[in-house]
Amino acid sequence: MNVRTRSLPLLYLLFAAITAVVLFPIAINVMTAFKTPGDLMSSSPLSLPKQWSFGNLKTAFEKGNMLVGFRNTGILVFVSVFLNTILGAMTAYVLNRFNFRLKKLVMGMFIVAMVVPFYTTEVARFQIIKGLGLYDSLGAPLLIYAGTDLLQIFIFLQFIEKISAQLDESAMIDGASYVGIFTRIIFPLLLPASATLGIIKAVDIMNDMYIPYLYMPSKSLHTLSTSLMTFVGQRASSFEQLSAAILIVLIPTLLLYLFLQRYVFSGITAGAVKE
Amino acid sequence: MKKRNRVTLALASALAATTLLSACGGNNGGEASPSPAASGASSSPAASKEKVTLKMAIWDVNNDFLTYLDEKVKEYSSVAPNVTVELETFKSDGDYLQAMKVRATGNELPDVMGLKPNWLYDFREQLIPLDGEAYLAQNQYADKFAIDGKTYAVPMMAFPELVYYRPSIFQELNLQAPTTWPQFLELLQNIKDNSKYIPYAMGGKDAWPNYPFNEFLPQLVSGAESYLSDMAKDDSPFAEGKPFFESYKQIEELYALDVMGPDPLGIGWDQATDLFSSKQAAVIAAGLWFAPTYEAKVGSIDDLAAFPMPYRLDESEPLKLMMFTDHFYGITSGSDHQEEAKQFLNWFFSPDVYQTYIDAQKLVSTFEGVESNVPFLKAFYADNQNETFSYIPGDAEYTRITNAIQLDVKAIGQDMMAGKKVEDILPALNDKWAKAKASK
Amino acid sequence: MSYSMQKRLVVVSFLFIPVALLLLFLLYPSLRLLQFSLTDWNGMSKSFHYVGFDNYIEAFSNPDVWKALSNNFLYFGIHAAFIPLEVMLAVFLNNKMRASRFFRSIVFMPYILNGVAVAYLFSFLYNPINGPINALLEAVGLESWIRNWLSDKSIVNYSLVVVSLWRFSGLHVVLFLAGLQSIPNDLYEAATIDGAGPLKKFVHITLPGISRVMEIVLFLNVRGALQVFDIPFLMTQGGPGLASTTFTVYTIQTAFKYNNYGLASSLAVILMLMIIVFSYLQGRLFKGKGESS
Repeated sequence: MNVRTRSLPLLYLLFAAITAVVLFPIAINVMTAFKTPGDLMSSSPLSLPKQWSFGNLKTAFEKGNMLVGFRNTGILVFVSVFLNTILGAMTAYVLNRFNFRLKKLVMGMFIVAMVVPFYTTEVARFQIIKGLGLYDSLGAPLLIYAGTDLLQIFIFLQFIEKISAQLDESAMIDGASYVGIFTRIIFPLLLPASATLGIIKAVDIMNDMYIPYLYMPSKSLHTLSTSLMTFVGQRASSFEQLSAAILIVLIPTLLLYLFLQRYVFSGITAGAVKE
Repeated sequence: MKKRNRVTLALASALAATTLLSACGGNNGGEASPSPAASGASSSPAASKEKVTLKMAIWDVNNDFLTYLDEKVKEYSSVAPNVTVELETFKSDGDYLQAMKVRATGNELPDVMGLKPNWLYDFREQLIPLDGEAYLAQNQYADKFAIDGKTYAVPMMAFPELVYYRPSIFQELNLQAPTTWPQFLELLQNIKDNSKYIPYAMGGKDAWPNYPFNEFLPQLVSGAESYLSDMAKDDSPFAEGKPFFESYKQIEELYALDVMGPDPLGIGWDQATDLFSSKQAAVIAAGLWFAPTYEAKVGSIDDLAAFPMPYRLDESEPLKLMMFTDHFYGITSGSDHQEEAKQFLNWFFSPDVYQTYIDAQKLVSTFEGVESNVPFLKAFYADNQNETFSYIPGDAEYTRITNAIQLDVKAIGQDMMAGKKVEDILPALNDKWAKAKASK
Repeated sequence: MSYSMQKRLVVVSFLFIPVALLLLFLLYPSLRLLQFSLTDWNGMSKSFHYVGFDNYIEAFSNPDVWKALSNNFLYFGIHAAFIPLEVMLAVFLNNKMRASRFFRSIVFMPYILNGVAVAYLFSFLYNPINGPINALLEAVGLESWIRNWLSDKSIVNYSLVVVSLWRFSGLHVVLFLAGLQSIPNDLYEAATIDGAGPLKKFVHITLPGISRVMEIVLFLNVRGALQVFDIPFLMTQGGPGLASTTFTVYTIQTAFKYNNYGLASSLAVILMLMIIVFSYLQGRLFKGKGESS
């Protein structure tokens, strides 16, 4: 559907307004992060810093345990997305290509899992994590994140449906095993979907605060979110330092987003395009 | 093309596997080798020279104190080389309590944990009795807080609850320190009328800063140190005429004066103290522990003074000074290193080490033989000789009922600051209280 | 190895880990939750008693629970009201212009940002002393609009919903955009030839075309609104008093602040049921409308 040309300026006005709404908080954050403590007290919060000082960033980075936060979040994201993608693809492959007795039951379990609430089930999940000896280790969130959810399986299923079973059949004529078909044909063709889902999962993990908060109290295991929470708890009144810490947390995601956004969008749309 | 995919896949999985393995194994490096039986204290003394890490946790608003303690506990390793004490710190007691409760459910409490007196009942199943330990004889407060005759935790510090003010502002506006509630209200009104300063710095957003009023006033007004446990025996402790209702009417008067700045509920403790420290506000109520924080921000205590909370309605009754005991340390029953923890506490409570603790805190000592050197306190006691009123937490029944009705007096304080009337809040509480009391 | 044997091996081995994770970390805890909800466990002691449905009765008769729930409904309602706007925006963005691609990136960006960072960022923006939003209002002469954003009980929830909208509207817009892009152009061309105006095209082609996405967005909205946690938790701790407490915040407080694991578990079970019921109702309502094309 094409937009009529005479409403174009109105459209641009709308876009500009939305851009302003989106960028205003971030712009304020950037400016505040670079202000010196006296600056914030004496001038309007909307003004540019009198001097661009890197002091806050330095403090936030050192006192805020940010390096540890980056490392742990990085490990969690990389490993979880990897596991999660493989497990999701495997699950979708089996659910799509095979029929077996308990299939409906398995599907049913995934559907039920969709409605289990996140935060309040931690109350019960805590016991299990403790029982497995995973409390206060990276293992706890890794395993929880690695579990696939229905949304991902659905999207993988959509993609797999488009992969013609003919490919499977011709491979089987050549004597390929099911595992071989999966690794050589199915999985590679799922990569575009995997890329998108992976990015979305990565974002979810990077933004998760509650699971690290509950299961990884040690300072050495802080993620970006919990590092920030601890830092805020210690310096609640110093907004310059706070803004610096927030900026440090936001920048990597923003950068990743700038470079990878086309994969995000292409993946979301590719899944929806019908052939 | 296919080959490259396979290779990348293999490399990726290898990388993932190694990170996974290192991640899972890595941070457990500090843990001791698996201990034999998890239940009960291991009775073998220092025979096991295995490397032991004792986990310890505490909260404090004072960052400098936390830094001190973190370094101090490391010194224990020079006394007991096989033991490392790892301290986990929290800035707010609310966050600390929440974290500890979560861990209590998973039996993951630290070996040595800090406690406020009103948490002792909640955690008593998680603590081991310390009766018989040598240091208990020196501690002047520990037995006041025994539960069923057993001592589960040892208090490290005591402090009076004060109302701080800036003498320079009082001088400028020709004001005297109040000794009755009406005088207090008049004082604040005067400062407000002058319109140069915010009379009272209230960090209502964090809820807890209203505790000198909403938590302590009922007890002070009742005159009985056992007031909280007494409440548990009463079917309608919030009824009109009773201390709770009466003191809350006093508080209502205070909040209605609107002397806490333009938005008391919009700023937290840190911002409120900023207002006080930067001399934009004249008065703030807090424990003695606030003085070091103030000193760190301002650089000196020259322009700082305090008076006891003037809860009394007139001068016919004596004005008592609320003393709060805090930083109780106990050993958790789920700890695998109870013996090592006990020996650590022996060292921790010894006069030399304890002296540094109480000096870092700048509060009143709880151990005989150790005096704290706090100029501000000396100056305060020079001007104010008041009888002390100890804070004693409610008993098990009190705790049970308050948990059942989810009583949060500080949240009620926030509601009151927002304008809710005492007549609308307390009667409903009576109903809930009676119901919870009856359902045993 | 025969294919039938392979099949058995593959099915079991491929599904083993996902299903095990599911059982261990989702389904088993849910069962335990059901169990705890029938007890008076305080979360810390070694023992507890079974109290039948007392917790459920308590949950339903407690006005604080309903107040918290009403806050959740506020999130749900306002987000739902924005859905048509999000669809419109997606429609406007659905063209090949470079500008549109740029604005699409901008619109989606808040979603990827760390929630903790965003919560604290907005706490600063709403600050009553020297806060950017109040400063902005002053700068454009709208001082009268200045409020106590996070401490005024009558508006605190709205202030928080704004943060939620800022974070999540972009996601909805992009999802709708994806749906729109899957509608083949020839449908529109054919309709133009038949003389259909833009409104008719929208109602008969666009809306049905994005029905799948709409279902997903509606489901996400229900699930999200019923579980709102980090925004109130981080920004106001549910305060002042209980004004901005949501259902999940209340549940967590019940469990860990007031040592009432049993009651908290029953609240969690109730939440699960609500998600199921509301999603189902929403689905029925939607199917009824969607089928009329």
